[in-house]
Amino acid sequence: MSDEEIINLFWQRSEDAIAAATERFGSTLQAIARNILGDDCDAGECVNDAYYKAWESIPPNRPQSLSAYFSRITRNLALNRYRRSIAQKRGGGQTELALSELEDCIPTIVSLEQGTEEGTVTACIEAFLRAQPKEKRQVFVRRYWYLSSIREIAQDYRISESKVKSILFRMRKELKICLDKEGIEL
Amino acid sequence: MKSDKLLNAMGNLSDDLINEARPGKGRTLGRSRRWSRWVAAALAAVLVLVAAVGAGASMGVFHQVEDPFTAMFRLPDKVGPLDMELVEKMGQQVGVSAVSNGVTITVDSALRDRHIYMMLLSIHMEGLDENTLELDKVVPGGCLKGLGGSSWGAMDLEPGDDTIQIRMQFMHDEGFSDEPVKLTLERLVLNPRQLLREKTIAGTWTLEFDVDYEDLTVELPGGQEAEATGIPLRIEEVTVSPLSIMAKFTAYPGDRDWDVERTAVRHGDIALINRLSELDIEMKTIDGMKIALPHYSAETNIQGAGGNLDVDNPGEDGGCAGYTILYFDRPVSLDEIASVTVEGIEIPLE
Repeated sequence: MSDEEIINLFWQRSEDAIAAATERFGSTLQAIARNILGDDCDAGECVNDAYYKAWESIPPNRPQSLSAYFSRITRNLALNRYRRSIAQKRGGGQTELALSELEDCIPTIVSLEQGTEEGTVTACIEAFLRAQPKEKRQVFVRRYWYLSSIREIAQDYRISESKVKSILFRMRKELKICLDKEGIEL
Repeated sequence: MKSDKLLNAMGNLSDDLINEARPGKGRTLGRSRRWSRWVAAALAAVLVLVAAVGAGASMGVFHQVEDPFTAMFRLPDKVGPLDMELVEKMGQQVGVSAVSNGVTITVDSALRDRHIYMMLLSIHMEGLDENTLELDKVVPGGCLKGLGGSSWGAMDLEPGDDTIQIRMQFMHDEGFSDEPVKLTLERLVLNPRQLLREKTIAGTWTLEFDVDYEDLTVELPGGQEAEATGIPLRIEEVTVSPLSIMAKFTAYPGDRDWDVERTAVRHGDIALINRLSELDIEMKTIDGMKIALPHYSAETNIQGAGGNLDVDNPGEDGGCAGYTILYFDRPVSLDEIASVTVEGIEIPLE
């Protein structure tokens, strides 16, 4: 079933919409949530919440890409749940590792004010990623958007884990330079 | 937490970037390329073997070592399992043999980069159980022509099979030519320098082979000013491969009596010419760990080193050209290397 057809089901308030979305995106959403939370049970709850959020938001929304839309909702819900669990000293998954890796990218500028607006930071990261070769870009997004493990990325791209680490290491360094050049403050 | 803000900012990436990297979409190439490379390597080895037979060299007993790559490195237990994907790019099993006076010498395997050629040889003779032996004369030819400085260590990988293995290494600061290897070996000495036990077996073994390899060398920028034991020097060129590091430099030692320097080794000191022939070089991984330490340190991942300082032909500015080559005790993936430091000057790998 195409994106268009599934979106139409949502607009028609048909219960088949959720079933169709589950069949199409379920495994990807489960993987995203599990990578962040480190627990299948929590991940499952998160994915269910994502379907509920989608039901509430379509209509009025008509997403261009249903895959990205669902993935984004799931990621945000999972990260929120992760932050709550950290506050309660629970949780596992790749998030903590990814956060510590991203420390490499923190720009040098230190400010007491609120920092650069999030959209500007996103635009800078996006411009940086678009300038990269395709495979490196995908590896970076897999790691810091999908929160996939190094091993999963290595297997999917048929490269060694050390090569994945190396790509990410160099890209984090380069991203830091880009953020510094743009005067980004976090 | 600032990295949390980055993670959030990542969350707002455009749909196309998210979809492009969706799990399960990965890469489709990889395995077939490696398979076809092994087929090509195997065919090349067969062709060389046939050529050797055609030229009159006898097959003799071709004794195949089970793991001819790990044995090339000084401490096989320390090395652990090799990264075979890396090894396959740098060399192959060879299997070329020559027989003389009842002794069969086989080149089991070879690994190489631009500046280092490593090989494992098996020496087979009925009843051979000595654990020390040497080849009295080694004449390198082909791409090894004119090179001295081969070195070896005898070992018995499979006791009771009448076969001893030796490692050989050759170094070339200018890089090996495209010619195949030709090795002429003469006279096998068993139990060398052992009173009443030393025995020489006359014979001549000529081995010719070529190795298909991928040049994985990374060239780092030179031009940095440095100093070694108070002597100013300029780093001209640094190259790194999974097998070795080479640094070429120009040193400015000033006017000295080099004959005195060559013959004097002061107690506790290393003669200047030796010190300048082997610069302090170390490598750091992306995790911050040092994996190749200077040749002089107790903890080192260097299997061997060589170098030279040409004090007899100084330039107009008094500079003496030199080089240092260090080769590792295991193949190193350059993906893991963050930087190389030469006499305290850190050069990142880009």
